[in-house]
Amino acid sequence: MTDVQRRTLNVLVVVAIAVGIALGAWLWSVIA
Amino acid sequence: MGNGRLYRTFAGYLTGVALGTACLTLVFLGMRSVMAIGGACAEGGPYVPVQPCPDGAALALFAGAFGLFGGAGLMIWFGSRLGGRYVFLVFLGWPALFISLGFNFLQYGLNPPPGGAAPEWGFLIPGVIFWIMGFGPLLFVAWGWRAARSGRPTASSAVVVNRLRDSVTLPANRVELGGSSADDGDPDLVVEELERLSRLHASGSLTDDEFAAAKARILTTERLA
Repeated sequence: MTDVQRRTLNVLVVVAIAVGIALGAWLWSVIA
Repeated sequence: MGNGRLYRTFAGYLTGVALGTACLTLVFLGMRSVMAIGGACAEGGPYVPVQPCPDGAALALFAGAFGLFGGAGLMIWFGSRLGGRYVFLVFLGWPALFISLGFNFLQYGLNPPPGGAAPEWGFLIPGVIFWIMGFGPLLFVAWGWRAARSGRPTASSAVVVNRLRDSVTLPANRVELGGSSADDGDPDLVVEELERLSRLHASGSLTDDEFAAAKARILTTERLA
């Protein structure tokens, strides 16, 4: 893994956390 | 690892992170809906007090709780190919779970739903216990992480952090946290680690034996990667 790939992955991890929170909130709005 | 396989590993790992976070959010919101009606719900049977559960609460709590394990599994499976620091992220799920659910307890303990009197100790006490269970390990890990990064991998907290990390990391990716930047076998990083080790050895922070062991470990990892 190159340095650029590592930095990109670090950013994507933060994005994945934000996406996960949004996805969870959306799923809750659908089933609640 | 080739770029194609690396990107598939990225995708699997990020799916695990998103799935775990989504399930944590579902559990958090499902719990809040139950807290808002007094903290418990049950119906059916002659001796069960009737307090219907909010729509979706049971599904959110069950699916969220089991889904958390799925997300953690993906993070460990794919993260162990990426290196220790990524697989270690899964351990932050524990404080994230207990701190967020503890927040619900504390908030509803201080501002109980209609019919309750503040402070509601039945909520506040579990809230405090949850925060101790969440913040305790988080602070310990932060302390150990810092100790390891600052060149003290033998500090007891750093040893625990390294053991936790090794417990979920493939052997080829194992390396002391103090030298973690070399864990992908990048030759430049390996040289940097060796130079850092030499400085620690020269300053007397590492004994001859510790220096030899750490050096051998970095070189072994470099060969395995």
